[in-house]
Amino acid sequence: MKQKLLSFVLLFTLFIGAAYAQNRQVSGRVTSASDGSPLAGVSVVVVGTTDATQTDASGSYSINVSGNNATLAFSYIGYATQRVNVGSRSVVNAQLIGDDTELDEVVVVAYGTSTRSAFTGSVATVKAETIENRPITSITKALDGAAPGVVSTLGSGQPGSDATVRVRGFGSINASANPLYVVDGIPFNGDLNSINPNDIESLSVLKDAAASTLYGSRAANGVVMITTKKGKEGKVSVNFRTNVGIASRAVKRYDVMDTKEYLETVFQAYKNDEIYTKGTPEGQAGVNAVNRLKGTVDPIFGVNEQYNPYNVPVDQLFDLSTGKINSNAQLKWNENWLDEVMASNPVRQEYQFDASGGSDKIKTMASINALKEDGLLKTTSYDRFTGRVNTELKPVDWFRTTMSTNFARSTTNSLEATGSTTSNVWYSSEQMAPLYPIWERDANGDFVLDVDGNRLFDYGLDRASGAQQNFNSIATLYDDKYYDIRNNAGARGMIEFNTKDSKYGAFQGFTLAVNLGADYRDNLYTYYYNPYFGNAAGSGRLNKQSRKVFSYTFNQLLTWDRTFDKHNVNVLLGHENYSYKFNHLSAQKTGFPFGGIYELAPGSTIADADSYENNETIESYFSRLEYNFDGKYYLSSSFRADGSSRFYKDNRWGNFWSIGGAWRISEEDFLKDVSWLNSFTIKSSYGGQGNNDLLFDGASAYYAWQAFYDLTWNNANNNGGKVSSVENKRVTWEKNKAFNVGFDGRFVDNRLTVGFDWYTRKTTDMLLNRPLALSLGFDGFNDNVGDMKNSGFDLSLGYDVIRNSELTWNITAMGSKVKNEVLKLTDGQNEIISGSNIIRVGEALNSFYMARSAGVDPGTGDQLYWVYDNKDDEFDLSKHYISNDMGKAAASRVMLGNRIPKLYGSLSTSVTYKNFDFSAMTTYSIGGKIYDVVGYSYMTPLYIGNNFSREMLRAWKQPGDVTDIPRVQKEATYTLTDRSLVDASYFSIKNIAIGYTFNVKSIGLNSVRVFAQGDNLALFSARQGLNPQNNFTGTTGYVYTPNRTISAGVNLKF
Amino acid sequence: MKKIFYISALSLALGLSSCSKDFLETKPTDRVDAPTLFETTDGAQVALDGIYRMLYTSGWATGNTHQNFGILSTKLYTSLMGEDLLQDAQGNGWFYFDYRYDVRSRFTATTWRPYSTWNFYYNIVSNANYILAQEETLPGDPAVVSKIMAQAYALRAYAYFQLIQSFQQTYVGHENAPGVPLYTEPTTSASEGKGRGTVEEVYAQINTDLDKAISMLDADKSQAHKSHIDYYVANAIKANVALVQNKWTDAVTHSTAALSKSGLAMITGDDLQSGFNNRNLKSVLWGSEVIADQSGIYASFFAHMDARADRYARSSRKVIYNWLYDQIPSTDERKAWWQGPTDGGTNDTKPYNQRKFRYSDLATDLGDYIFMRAEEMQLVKAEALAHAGRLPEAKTALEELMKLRNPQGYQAILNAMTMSNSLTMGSIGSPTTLMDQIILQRRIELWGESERIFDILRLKTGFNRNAANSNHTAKPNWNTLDPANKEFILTIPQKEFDGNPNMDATKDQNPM
Repeated sequence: MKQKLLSFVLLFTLFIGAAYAQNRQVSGRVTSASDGSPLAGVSVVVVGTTDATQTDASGSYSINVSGNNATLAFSYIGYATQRVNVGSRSVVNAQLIGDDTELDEVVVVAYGTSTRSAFTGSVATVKAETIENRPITSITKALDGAAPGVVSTLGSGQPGSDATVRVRGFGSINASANPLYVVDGIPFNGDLNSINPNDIESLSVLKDAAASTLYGSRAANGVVMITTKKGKEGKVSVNFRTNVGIASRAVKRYDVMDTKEYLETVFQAYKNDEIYTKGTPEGQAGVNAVNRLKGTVDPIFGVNEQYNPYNVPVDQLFDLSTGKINSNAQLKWNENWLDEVMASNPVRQEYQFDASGGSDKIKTMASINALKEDGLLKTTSYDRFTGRVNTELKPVDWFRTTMSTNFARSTTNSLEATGSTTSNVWYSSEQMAPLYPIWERDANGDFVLDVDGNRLFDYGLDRASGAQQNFNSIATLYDDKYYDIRNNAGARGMIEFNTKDSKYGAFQGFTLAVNLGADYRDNLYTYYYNPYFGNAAGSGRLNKQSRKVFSYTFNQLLTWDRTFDKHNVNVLLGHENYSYKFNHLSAQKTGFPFGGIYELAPGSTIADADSYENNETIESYFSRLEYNFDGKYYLSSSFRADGSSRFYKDNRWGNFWSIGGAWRISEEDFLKDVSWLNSFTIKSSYGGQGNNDLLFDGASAYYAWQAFYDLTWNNANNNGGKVSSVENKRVTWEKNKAFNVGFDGRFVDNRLTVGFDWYTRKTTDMLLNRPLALSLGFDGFNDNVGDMKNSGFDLSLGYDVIRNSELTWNITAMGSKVKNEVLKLTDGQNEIISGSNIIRVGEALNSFYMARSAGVDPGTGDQLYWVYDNKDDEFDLSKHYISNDMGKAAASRVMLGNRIPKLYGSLSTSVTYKNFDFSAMTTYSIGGKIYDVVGYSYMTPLYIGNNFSREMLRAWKQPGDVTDIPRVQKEATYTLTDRSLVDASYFSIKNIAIGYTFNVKSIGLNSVRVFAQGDNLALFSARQGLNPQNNFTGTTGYVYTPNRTISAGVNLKF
Repeated sequence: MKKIFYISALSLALGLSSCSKDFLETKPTDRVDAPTLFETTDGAQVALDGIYRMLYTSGWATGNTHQNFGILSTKLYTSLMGEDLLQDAQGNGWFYFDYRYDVRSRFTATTWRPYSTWNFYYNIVSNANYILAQEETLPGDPAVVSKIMAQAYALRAYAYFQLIQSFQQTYVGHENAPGVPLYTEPTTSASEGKGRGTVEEVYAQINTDLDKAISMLDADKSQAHKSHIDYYVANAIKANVALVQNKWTDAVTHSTAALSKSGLAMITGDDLQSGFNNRNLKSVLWGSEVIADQSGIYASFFAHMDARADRYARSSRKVIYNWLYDQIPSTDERKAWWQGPTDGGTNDTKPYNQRKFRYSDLATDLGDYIFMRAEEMQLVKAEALAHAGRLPEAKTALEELMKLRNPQGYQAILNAMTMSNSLTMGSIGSPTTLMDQIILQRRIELWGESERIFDILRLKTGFNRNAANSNHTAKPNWNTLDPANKEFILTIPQKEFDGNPNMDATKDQNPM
């Protein structure tokens, strides 16, 4: 009605105007950019005049203009106003872009929503479409490259696993640096992989103080706000989607030796041990080496040469002078342990069904999803069912309630092993020397078969010491079982009373909302060890662990929102309680009559039984004041006080505040008519947040300040306790102060989008294990120690290269830089050394601290080091000299850089042509270093029986050789040097998606889309096998290799 | 509309009041704070039993925990550092790094022997100090309080005694060498690491603590559990300390006191071949009872000793030095503790493999840990008497043991010895004096259960792995006959220097 009135007025003025001008007529059609449908009722105004018209039902208009310099402005509710220069054209078509979707983006922020141009804080968003294009199971894996300032690990290839995420640098040392995850307004404590990515409407990452202070207590490392899909008013829409794919390695295997190369190298290693350690003459050394290789003390060929893979005896296998394998020798077997454990083309399949719709009184969305994903490693898999219902009821204008529930059940079959244990195939099969057979072989190299004709696993009683003696990790994969059944359930309920309507007079503008959100998860681990071979040979062992987490957030929010003339004021007051409860119950039995029993009852002996509970509570009071004048000037301030149960009562409360401002310059009169400028906001904020999530061995430490006796130290049947911590009542919140300045702008018909933020974030009172002398019985205690600074910038650029009704092409580039500096540690200490890392004042966190390699002595093949004599000489390189003294080298460590890249980000593009769509994303990281633990261990294996890297083929062999790799020598030890470091830079093709949408309205469907997607498609890094995104500290490990997924699917909508 | 505000006010009020006063007070369920524990003597006893549990629990390093199971892992690695006990193959690698002297350079890691040894014994010290801090204030029967405190004193002394022997050369001749940091106060957040002090200071503290313990335990000599330090165990520790300090009279006095326990007797016959896995053997002074859920499975003494089991010893037998084996007469019952030179074909019957230490139950990985036997005190007494010049008494003391082991041959052997207290044999010579025979008997009887390298340091003989046809699989290429080689003692873990302002890595580290 209002619009019609307005058009009448406009038309009326047009008639008057027309009477006075010498004009020509321009006509055209206005359509929606998103689906090409005609837009009726769009106002078309000649800029600088009062001439105006409206489009008709088919989107057509005509209007008179004078001269060739006229500009038309098209405006329509819910769409961005577009200005078009007419020039000499007589037909001017326009495509309007929806305000809420692509332009002034609605962003979900703490306790509410805002729009990008009006928001004083820094926020990055990831859209549903971006998530949909990726065949991922955990939402955490969608964040890599998707938002500036956000960095993630590649994550494990174990189906269902999560990636780790960091926002704007590394804010903590001993406290968690994970962002806070908030789902539909309530901090989330379920499993991140229980959230069905298809249910996600949008994901925003709050990065600065203005954005996140309202989550004060736990927002120091950023907040990831996940908003699930809601029902929309209007037609009911139904969506069915299937997606089927296969997985393969995303990172190639390390380049390791084959049998011949390995045996030649290991022979040389024994021979060099004879020559250089025992002083055996060269002529005798080869003979001794062969005798040892087939001997009993440190053999590699087992008993009676059982593991000689060649058809000639060991005595004749090596040319003693050259070390080469006898050219007549033929391999009897050639087995590859790692290949054997890898599944070929494991399948991932996913089925999604959802429906949503609603009226003005009730809106609802419901979804159900089934997923089954097999792992790259045989026998590993992940199965998941999820369901969600989101409902909103608004019976009267003063009352509204929303309720949502979700449920997920998953079963994970995994390999429960990390690090250097033989049951971890990523360690043991990866490292296995290639001569050993997987299955038992007879003297001819033929398989030994059991009575049923099956091959028998070789349990390697007499393999070399590093080659899984008395174990077969491949057999364990089949014979042992590790699985985890998880249930996640969550509920979010909100009731809201308001007096928004003007009929409430002086009381107008109040809203009182009460939110209760709860997350529950339980899981039941089963670890089954078979009674036949391996860890529990003879008796079998079964371990069951039940863990339950229940958390809730209960808050009461009172807001007052009024507009007086050009002034808008919004005040929020709130109170919140948070409670977290964890229950653990576990039991273990041994003595099982036979294998394959996965329940405890039949076990004869209780080997372990344990239970405990952890609790955490937080209470908070908070407020926010927002003011804006005329949609041009925005001010916001917030305050939050948090009390945490983790700290002593006198030091429990932390006060956090922030202030921010934004100026929409583009709304100013002097810029309103600049045609290339559509929107431009500059903003700045300053404020603080806290962190109480102190960690101990990577797990949350809920009792930070107390000294305890750990009562699990019973002496036989006498109760016993051991002191487990040192009391420190002073320990309190780790604090963050962040300053942000930046801008968001849209230019050139909204084609170009630019977002830029520069920030500096100082962490003070870092929660840290303040070191104690180890001789005091503890290596430290929880305390607030030291300061650290992260600073950098986040930049994102988007450009619509082509934008017409048939073809659109968009390019997006993101880049971030972060610089980390430790500003202060303890009073008396300016460095904390931890293995090969150092935290040193003035340097970046976790810098590498190692000796420097000075190459290899061409005369002897010794590893040479740069060494110095006095501690103070570390910084004066002129006092460093070359030596082969390992001990001296161990004391001659220097700073050698860190993992933090110089620049990282992503480049992505999307194209739509008619019904085709295509998108691609690549990620890049430039600079930084990685201590390649795995790669380096292939060059300096700790035990015989570990394979070598092919890089070892260029090791020093004889005097005069110039090389970077010292002579191979059995059990030679080296001081760790920068030889173990590699460049961390990489470029990866992260994701490609292609789709085609059929118009099937004629058969009653809305649309049918077929699509294909690829994830983690290619990786280019410094060394084959290196995963540059293994973690943030810059090491590699013996972990489940990340996977590449290629999938295809169909999406039906009606 | 007013209704709305009533409702609003009500829910807000409800919301706020839901927060009770102790909403923010949380406590763990498997731990308790010290004041609660020290409200009663029963509670203090819990703290004390926690220390006893540590003595056979694995851990103490951030990795390699399978070779760190308390006192017996010390006994095993210190034996491997000498010559009498060896590994015939590298096996899975456990302990082999100790045996081939490849741990000292690994002091910067928190996984290897320097770290785990330091950490283990200082954990005992700090836990004892927390108990001792309650000496004046612990409520309850003064007799019970006194008994608890006495044990804490003895445990602290024992830990310092192990530390000083592991990280410094022997007492005599090195009295003024750097010791190890000494603490007698409980650790608090205000505590600061101390410097090394001197060896003399460490022994002074050890003796002060032991003297207190002995006098306090004198009142009630009962032992509630075999793992508890009673009057006799405290005397036994003191006897060992006196031996190292060459205080012969003290050593005689305290070993005699230790042996005076009623019911205590040296074992004979079947007990000798029972696997040393039962704390209730009549000669056991001190030992831990290991029950099913505390066995450690792989991370246990027997996993490394008993080659019959599908555990570590299977591929890396703990074997007697063939030289020592050859010193044992065929009439000596102890000869059956080892397989002879012939290979019996199974893992358990590989040449010279030990069968002295065996699981009590293979299937459940069970076996008690024995820390101290009457036989050890008998040998200490004999050695101290000899040093004190009381040779006939020394001979009698030795005879009491030998006649139980070698009833047919002991007299001939003893009669062949010169009645002298000088040690002429060295590491692998021929026994000619009474002292030679005492030390030889000590090496046989306490094989695998005394800290052999501590004896080598104390006796200043060095060791020799190069006897004829030596079955040693690792022979260091430095001078092992040096009486005080730097290799015989551990390096101090880097972690100590990182947290201790009074220790400087460039000055206070042991020689590299």
